[in-house]
Amino acid sequence: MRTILVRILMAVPALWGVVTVTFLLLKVAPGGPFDRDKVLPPAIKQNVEAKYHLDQPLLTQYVLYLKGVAQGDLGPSYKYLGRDITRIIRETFPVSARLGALAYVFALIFGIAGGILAGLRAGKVEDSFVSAFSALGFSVPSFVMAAALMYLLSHTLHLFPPALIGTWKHYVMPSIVLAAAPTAYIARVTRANVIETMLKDYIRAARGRGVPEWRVVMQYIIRNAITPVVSYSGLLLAFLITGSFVVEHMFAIPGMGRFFVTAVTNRDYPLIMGVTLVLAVVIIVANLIADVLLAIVDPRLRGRT
Amino acid sequence: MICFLALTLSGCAQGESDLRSEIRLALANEPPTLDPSLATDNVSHRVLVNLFDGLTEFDADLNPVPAAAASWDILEDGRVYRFHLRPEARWTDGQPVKAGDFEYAWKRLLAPETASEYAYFLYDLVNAVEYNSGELKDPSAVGVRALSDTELEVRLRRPTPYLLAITTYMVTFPLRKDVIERFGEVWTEPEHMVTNGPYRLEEWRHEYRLVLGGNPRYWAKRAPIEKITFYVVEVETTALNLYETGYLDMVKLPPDAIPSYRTNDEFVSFPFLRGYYYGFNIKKPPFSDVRVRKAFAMAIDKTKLPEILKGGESPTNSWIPKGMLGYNPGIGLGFNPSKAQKLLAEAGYPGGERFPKIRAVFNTSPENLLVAPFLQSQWKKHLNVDITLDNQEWKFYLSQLNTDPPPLFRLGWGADYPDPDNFMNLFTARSGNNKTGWANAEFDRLIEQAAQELDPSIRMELYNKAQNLLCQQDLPIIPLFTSTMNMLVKDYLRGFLPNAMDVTYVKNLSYRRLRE
Repeated sequence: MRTILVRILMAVPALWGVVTVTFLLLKVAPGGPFDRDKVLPPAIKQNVEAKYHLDQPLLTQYVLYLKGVAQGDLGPSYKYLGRDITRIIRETFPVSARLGALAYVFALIFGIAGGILAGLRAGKVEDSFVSAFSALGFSVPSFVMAAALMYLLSHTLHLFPPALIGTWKHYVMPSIVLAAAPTAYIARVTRANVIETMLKDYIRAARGRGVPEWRVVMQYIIRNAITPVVSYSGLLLAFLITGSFVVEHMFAIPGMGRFFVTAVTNRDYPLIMGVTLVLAVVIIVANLIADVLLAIVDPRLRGRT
Repeated sequence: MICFLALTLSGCAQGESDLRSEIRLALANEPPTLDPSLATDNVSHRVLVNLFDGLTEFDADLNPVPAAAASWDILEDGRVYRFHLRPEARWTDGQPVKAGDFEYAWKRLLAPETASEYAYFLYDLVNAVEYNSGELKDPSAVGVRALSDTELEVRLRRPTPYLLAITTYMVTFPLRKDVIERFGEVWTEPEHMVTNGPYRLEEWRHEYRLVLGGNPRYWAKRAPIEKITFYVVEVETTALNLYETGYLDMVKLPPDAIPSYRTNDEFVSFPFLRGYYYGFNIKKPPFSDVRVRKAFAMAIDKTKLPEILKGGESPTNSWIPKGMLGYNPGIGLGFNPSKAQKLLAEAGYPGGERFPKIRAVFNTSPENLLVAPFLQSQWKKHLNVDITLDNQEWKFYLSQLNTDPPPLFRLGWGADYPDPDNFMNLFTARSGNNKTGWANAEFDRLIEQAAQELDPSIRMELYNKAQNLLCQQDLPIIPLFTSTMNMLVKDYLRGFLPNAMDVTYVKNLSYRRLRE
């Protein structure tokens, strides 16, 4: 409990660092939020900049922003007029989180199961099958996979809607695309750990003692094999639930992930800061959860987190 | 976790809509705003033209025809317009649409505190510039006022032949002062928004969907299509998939898909008022020499551009696009490689020798990534000149154009209103959009004169002279092509009349037959 409290307190300066660095990086990036192909007359540009305090000195802008953040106000969007960042995140984050959580569960179940199967049947046809799928998941870019699934499952077979959200069917293809790479990674890591664990002395000893094979697998092999997956799962969860630009973009899903790219291209400073802050908070929380889970799975790690 | 997922995924099934009275369209991105005073983009415009009636609207030939105004008088040699509003026009909450609503909206657009980027649309009004810049504090001095509930008077600082075209545009739509003051920035949310057009906003799920329902109080007959659903679909191929699988009724085609749909019965193609050009910074050598500029222009075989771009683009040597007063395909420098080589030699670069290292700079986009290598190869082939290509991220590119334009750069221009002034004042010396460094007093004089000339034939003559300076004599730009809109429209829709501004008034559409 004390460790968790310390970690939470340590998160405050970390978040301040994230806000400050992001703020400064944005200010040195070329191009501004109101640079358009149709140039604004000087009077209009002046009015716009005054409205958003962009005519103020950098330090004043920074202090104003920090004050807002401290009060839970992330400021107005420069692109989506009349909408504040807090509200944008409140509307889009749940959509990303829903899809990300689904992909996360998908990746854990299929990644661990596939990895165990491949590890236990190393060199056999099951192993080749899982390895081939892992290679695909790793090597095929998300947008290619999305386009291929759309064509095959929607356009040709009419099994799922090609995009948008609504019914459970709408989530199948985006979840597969989002989960593909992490599933492949988890399967590979799990497979390697299963093979390595099976060669350990205590496994041979357990088998020698006549412990049933299913118990050897469940109690010793799997438990050891999934430890690295648990430590990776925190970061994975953080990245999945904060959304994916490619998946949300391709499937027209109104999530937060698209802002990681579009907010930057629009130089929508408050929105970039907002989504960065959310990502940082989620990473910190997810890592904390992962550490707690790790301590449960591996008793040797207790007290170290 | 699994329970949570099951609950969240099961609770939001899309309801079945009445397919006989709904149209489903795609928007290329989330509308940045539905506040007409703040909107500047095509996406917001597509929605707003269906929510509001301006004083006028476009017919199929882009002529302004009566909308909220039943008629108008042009007085004092085109310096005063008096609009007569329809007394039967109503807002969605039943209130009558008054001339004061227009006066309020126009003055709000110009108010410095509104910080509207498109305030300059009304800069031709008396005292508009002064009020917008904060020089003048009194809004009553601005040249727009309600003479009565149904009479709106607009006073201009000079005759403005394109004023009626501007009154079709979203920034001039009427607004309700009481609603905006009561709800502030969120007045555009469905629960607050009051509009005067054929449709009203029923739902706006940001980043995903907008639903417009018919306005039962609309002054004209009720629109045959009672519901419009706009989905935010940023990827063109995704939109095409949605169209193909029956989720959309109209879609813009991605360039790669155009050849395979060209013979399809649902394929619709029409010219679009958007010009594409490469500009020279004429203050930087070697393009400070007009002979080099002309050589570069004449070394391009523009007829190959449609083959490369596949979108039905129209190659052009002149600047004012087809479909607009002032269009004259006879002006400009066509493909003439031998003349181009001769001019380059005269400028001191025979056979391309000693030609300095030049970068052609452009922003990253699929279209630009096709055009730039083509130009590079043309200049190599016909002039023996090596040009390197430099594609840049959009905002970075704009910041460079605004601070230190490169010797050779790409830009385009889409019409805000279908008048040549919108295209030609771009290259006046005072225009912030003129990145070429070119300034020609004669050109400026012609544009100023044409902008206030009411006689179309005299205007045409003035624009011919101006285009001659721009595209033939001084050549600060190489016009390359004007764009084409390529769409698929379901065959059960009736009344779709494409226009070069890509404005779709859904109230004019209906169903030829029921969807299958």
